[in-house]
Amino acid sequence: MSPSPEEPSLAEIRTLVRRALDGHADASRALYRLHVATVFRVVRSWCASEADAEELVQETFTRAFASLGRFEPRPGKPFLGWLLAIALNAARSRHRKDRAHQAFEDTEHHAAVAPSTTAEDALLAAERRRELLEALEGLDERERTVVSLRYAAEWSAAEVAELLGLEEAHVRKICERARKHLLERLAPRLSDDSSAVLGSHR
Amino acid sequence: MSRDALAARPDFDADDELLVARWKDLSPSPEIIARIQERLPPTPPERTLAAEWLELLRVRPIVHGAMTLAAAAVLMLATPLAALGGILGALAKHGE
Repeated sequence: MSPSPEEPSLAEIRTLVRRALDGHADASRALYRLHVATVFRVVRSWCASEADAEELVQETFTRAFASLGRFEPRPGKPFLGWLLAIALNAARSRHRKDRAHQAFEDTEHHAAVAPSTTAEDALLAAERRRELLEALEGLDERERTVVSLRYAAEWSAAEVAELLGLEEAHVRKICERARKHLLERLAPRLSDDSSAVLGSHR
Repeated sequence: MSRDALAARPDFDADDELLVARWKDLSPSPEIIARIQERLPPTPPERTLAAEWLELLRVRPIVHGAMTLAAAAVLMLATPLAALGGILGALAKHGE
C-alpha cells in the first residue's frame, strides 16, 4: 500500500513513533496533526453531531497513543490504516447505539471555514454537510465503511480492500452501489459542483 | 480539476472526485483540531517488563506485593530448588 501524497513516508513515521515512545511530545503532536483531518472526516461520516465526532477522534488518538508500543510501521501496514481501524470500530459502535438519534446537529463553529467566509457561505457549507450525512444514512454499515475510506481518506479500492480484509473486486462492487445512491441523493447540488469541475476541462 | 489531476489518480473518476470534494466539507476546523489536541494525554513512554512490575508495586504495594510473594512461593515449591531444599533439609535432620 503506497502512501498518498499527504501521508509521510514509512521512515518518517517510524522516526516519529520511536520519538513519541521516547517521550517526545512534539513527535506525538506531529503524528496527531498529520492524521487528524482524515480521521475526523472518516469518523464524521458516522456521527449525527460534530461533538460526537470530536469525542470519537479524541478516543481514537488516546487509544492509539496508549498502545503505540505495539504498532510496528511496515510496508502494507500504514499508520493511518491502523488509526482508521481504531476509529472505525469506535464510530460503528457509537452509530449502532445512537441509531435513534437521526437529527443532524451542526451547532459548532464548524469546519474549515476561512475567516473571510460570509455567513451565507457558512450556511451553505452547513447545508452541504447535512445533505451528505443524510444521504449516508441510506447506506448499510459496510457501504458506509467503504465510501468513508474511499472519499474521506481518498484511498484506492485496493487500499480499502487491504484494510477491510476483502477482495478488491468486492470493494469496487460495494462502492459502486453506494456511490450510485449518493449521487442520486446529492444530484441537484453535485450538478453545480460538476459545472465547476467540468468547466476546468474545457 | 484538470485532466492531469484526474489522470494522477486513475482509481478515481470525475464522480469520485466530486464526492471527495463533498467529503472535504466534513473536515475539522482549526479550533476543533486544537481542542482535541489539548485533551490528549501524553504518550506513555515505552517501559521494560521490570519497570512495569515496579510500577505495579508502586501503585498498590500491599496487594501486588503479597501477590508477587505468593507467586514466588508457588514457583519455589514447584521447581527443582524445592527438591534440593528437601534433600538438604533431610540431610540436616539425619545429621541431628
